[in-house]
Amino acid sequence: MQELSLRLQGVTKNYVLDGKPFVALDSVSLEAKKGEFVAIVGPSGCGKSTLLRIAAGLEHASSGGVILEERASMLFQAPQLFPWLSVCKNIEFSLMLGEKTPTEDQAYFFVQQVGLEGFENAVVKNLSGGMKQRLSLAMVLANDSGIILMDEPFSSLDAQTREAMHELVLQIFEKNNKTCILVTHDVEEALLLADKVCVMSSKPGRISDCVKVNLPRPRNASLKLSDEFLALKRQVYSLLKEK
Amino acid sequence: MRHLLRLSGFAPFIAVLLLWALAVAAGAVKPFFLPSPVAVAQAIFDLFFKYAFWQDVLVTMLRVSVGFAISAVFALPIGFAMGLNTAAKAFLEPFIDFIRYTPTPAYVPLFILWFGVGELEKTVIIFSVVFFQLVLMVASSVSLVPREIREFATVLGVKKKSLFLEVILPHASPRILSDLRISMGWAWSGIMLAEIVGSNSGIGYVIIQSQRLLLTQNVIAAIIVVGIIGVAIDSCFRWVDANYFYWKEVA
Repeated sequence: MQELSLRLQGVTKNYVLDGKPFVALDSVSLEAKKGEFVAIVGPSGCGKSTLLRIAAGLEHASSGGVILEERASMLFQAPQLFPWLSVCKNIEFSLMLGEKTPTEDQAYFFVQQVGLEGFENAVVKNLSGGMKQRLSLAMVLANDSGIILMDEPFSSLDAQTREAMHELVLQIFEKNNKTCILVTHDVEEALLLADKVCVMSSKPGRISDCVKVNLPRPRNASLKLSDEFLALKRQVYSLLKEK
Repeated sequence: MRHLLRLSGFAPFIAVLLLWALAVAAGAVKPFFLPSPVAVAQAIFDLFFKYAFWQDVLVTMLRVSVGFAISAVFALPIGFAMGLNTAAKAFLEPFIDFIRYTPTPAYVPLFILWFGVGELEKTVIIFSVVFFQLVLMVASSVSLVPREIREFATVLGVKKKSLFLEVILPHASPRILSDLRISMGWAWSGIMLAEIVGSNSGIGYVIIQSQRLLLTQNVIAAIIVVGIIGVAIDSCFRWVDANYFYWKEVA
């Protein structure tokens, strides 16, 4: 039995929206073991981003508990970077916050991990959308936190770039022993990357079911055409329709 | 292409100069009201080389520098506070808005009554023109730092107390430079007002004295000199922007 990395226990979040009370999350529980990749899929507005923000400590739950065994960092939907720093300096900044004294070699290691060689001295504004998200990912990796939370980080990228990012995340995840929680509305993405896909329903936001993805690793995009994958996809879609 | 664009900036100057020269040459306006460009050029030369105009230029520049620096020293921290703290904003904004909407010229008689027509009065006039506008611009520039970038920094481990220096200030600095650049122009409006109303030195003083002595060419000459200084100061701001804030994203 692997040890636990993250546990959300009965997390409830109430808002007041236009003067009316609104239940965004209704007693959501979720567990991730160390080194496990968990994806949460659900329609937009089901509260999955809120759940992630609560896990990251950016918002407080109205009730329920959040237990993190490791530090968590987060990849946002729009790549967040510090544009006044070069690619390398962005990574060094993040390394430094991970309480290590960064060396140029270390920063370059993460430049390589996300395939930004040749751009280490580039100005952030000159990077493409996909490269920005790669850099953001490199910063999250360099930060040396055990848990990586991802809030639809690939949804604003074009299909090709998104696929390249999937391969990259698979490579990195399979090499490093990180716990990942990915929030997405893309079922294929969830199944390709994750070990466990949890389906969320909306109004109020609840996790209705979790599906184990027992597909072998290392994985790559061609997996999406396999029968097992398609069967899982059907299963998740039917769960999403049920709600 | 870029050179051509830059050169095109001279075209309006040449057009106005031509129109001006033609109007005077055709006798459409009396030289007393509008002397010819040549007469004004001569006046600029004479002012500097016969009448020690550069002393007045220096005095005015010194006044602007002091007044502007004092305004900025107060406007920056108060603007930061208002941009980051809703309580500070709620507390200060109505008052600052009130002063901002009452035109500074309306205060000048009061300032003369209180402070005389010395240097203090001039500094106060520049301050009242610059500060109340600048403080609101700085507040807005700081509040434009996106929430997500602060959150990303927080998640990566930037402590709350270092967030300002490490994230908010660098992100806002190009906008703050632009705020300073715009309010520098107002500082010049302020000093002209102060020197025309009551002074015995400075460019504004030369303008009002020349008008009293019916030396229209000197009035226009002094205004042109102010314009040239303005363009020079502006290009300093642009140099800083191009060399230190080359990284900023242009929407």
